[in-house]
Amino acid sequence: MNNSSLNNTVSPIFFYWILAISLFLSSVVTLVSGDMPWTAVWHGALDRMQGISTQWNPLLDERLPRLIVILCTGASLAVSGAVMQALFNNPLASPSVLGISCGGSLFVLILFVLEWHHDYPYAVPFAAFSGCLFVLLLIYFLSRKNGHVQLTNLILTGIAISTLLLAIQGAITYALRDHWQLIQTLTEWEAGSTADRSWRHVHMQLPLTLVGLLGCWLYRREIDILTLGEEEAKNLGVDVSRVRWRLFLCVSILTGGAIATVGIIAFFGLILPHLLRKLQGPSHLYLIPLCILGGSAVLTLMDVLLRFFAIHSFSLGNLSAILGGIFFIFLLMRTPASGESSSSSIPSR
Amino acid sequence: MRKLKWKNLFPYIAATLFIACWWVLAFSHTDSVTPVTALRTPQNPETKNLGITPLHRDTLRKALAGNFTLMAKLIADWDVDAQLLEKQTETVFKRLPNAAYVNSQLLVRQLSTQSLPPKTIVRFLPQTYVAASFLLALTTPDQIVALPEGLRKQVHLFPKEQTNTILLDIDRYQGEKLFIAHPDIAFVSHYSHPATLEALRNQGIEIHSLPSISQLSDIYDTLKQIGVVSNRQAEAELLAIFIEAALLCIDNRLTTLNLNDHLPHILFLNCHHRYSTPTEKTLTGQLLNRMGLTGTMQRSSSSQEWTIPIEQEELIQLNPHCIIISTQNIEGKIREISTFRHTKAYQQQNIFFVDENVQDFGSQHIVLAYYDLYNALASARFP
Repeated sequence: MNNSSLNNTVSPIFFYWILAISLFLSSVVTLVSGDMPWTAVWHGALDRMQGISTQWNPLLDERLPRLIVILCTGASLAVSGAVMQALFNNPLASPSVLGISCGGSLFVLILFVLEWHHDYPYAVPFAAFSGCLFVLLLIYFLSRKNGHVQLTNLILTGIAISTLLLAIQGAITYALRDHWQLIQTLTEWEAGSTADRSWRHVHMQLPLTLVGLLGCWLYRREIDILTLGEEEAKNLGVDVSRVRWRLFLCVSILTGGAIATVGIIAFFGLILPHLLRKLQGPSHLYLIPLCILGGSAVLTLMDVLLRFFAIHSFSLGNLSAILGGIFFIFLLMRTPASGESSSSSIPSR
Repeated sequence: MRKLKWKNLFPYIAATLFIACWWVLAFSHTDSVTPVTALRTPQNPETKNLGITPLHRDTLRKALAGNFTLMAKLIADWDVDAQLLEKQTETVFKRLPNAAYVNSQLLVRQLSTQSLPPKTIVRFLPQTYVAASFLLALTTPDQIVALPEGLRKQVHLFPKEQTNTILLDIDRYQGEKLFIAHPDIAFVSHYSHPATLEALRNQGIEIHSLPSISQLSDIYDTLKQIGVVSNRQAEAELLAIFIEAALLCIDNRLTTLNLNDHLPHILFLNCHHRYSTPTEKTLTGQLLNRMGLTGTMQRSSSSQEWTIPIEQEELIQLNPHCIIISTQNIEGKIREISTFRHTKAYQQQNIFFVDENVQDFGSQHIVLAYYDLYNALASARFP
């Protein structure tokens, strides 16, 4: 089933409803389920809100901030993936595939090594954002030739940069291999987890998410035009370099916030926007809200499943990487060789 | 032109201000997640001295698990043994200082005869193995809310009968269960996850940070700190005296082995993915140093590293007469013993394995780590 036939048979509103219901149900489960009885949790929360009690409450102090962090992360990664795919006119572009996440994680790793995260909590999202932006710009400029970004160069440069950054990370962790406590901390962080998230993490991420999403939303029309090609966009009056720069900033902010707060959630920014674009169509007027909704819903659902089945050996990042990897291979296998039918699973735009 | 510039800059300034203001408001009044400073007191020099006596490993383990009567008995026996050895060999043997010895006997009498007033039940959450190990020895299981999961697996140190009564595991996914159990005090380390510390603090749990154990004095400091916080000062003091007495006892036993000529030919190896020798930065390295195993064979010098990898070629070149291998997988390593077949240690059947979990523990079980080293040397056959 290709885009047009899918859009003809199923209304986009249907997908909105499905995702909204999934998001609602998984959010309710996140808030309601836990080891403590719900009535005690609810009464405790009411007491806190009325100022009767100051006691720690699972709903207000653990489940609610965790939910907000998951919502922000899901929305951030999905939207940044969608914007990247549109900017580079490439359905394989995403923060993790291009190595942007590696940049963020390297900077955060250095921060952990310097132990600044104890004294300066906001240094973590700042480092993640700086790392993401640095790598994004590096990849962008290295893959430019004669003023144009070559898609093949882009992907290859991304792979090269991410390999280099992973090697640097490996060298740092190897040099510190005797500091098992630090290694344990880094391993946990890199695995991507929502355990023990608190309001501190919400404060780290939420402003970044709001700014990033707002930026992407404001440039939704320009993104649509940019997918037609750089020359076409210039002819239509788009200040391509300025729009790209600002969208790069937005993507870095979104990815950096997610990395700083939850860790590395691989493939999430690649698969989900790709699927949603197939379902919804290429217009970012609808795609960005759908990515916000879909990203939040899917990540919340994954977290609920992990917690429901008590799969402690897996983190959210592990699960996303495994599912995303399998799906990515599936997509590649379904992609016809050049010259075959145009009903490709990875659309060529 | 000027207007246009400001217009271009406005989105950047607005976004930066928004984020900066948010973070300033959110984080300016937040306490650092770094735990409270570790309590550090100078070690009493009197407890660093003398003591000696022979013993079985299981007896030592039982005493270290918190059997205070057995501790006092062993301390008394070792003191008598040291006097006997001195009389027989006309050599000076190590003994506990008289004050420590008398204090140990006094403490055990107080603990066994005194009808203690019912102490307020304070419940503890030991996040680290060291804290859990000390608390299991000093307090009763009903005072411990949860244990580190890996500690339960070390049944050779902590019998299941003891650990099974404590139902919860310390797991970051069990924050709410821990909250239901409502511990009063949590013992954490400086490397505890900041988010977990914050969660504990938010739940109103008092947090005490323990120092990292890098030398013997850290064990005593930690023990003393836990004793003070858990209101078990007498028990903690007796356990500290016992540890000291046991180490001196093993020192004396090593003296009786007359290994001085063979010490330069004994090699201790750590075994993970590759073999390495520990430096004096590790507890095992310090124990080896205490035994007199220093010099070229241990290759430690003044290294800043914790371990120094060793290649097979160098190992054969050193050609030790005795090899002690510290590993978690003794059975698996026995199959790899042919690696050493070109050494005298292999030919003289002087290759011994010790449990790495015990060597690296850094609690009262340092006594067992030292005993294992001594036991290996006592079993060796030198020409």
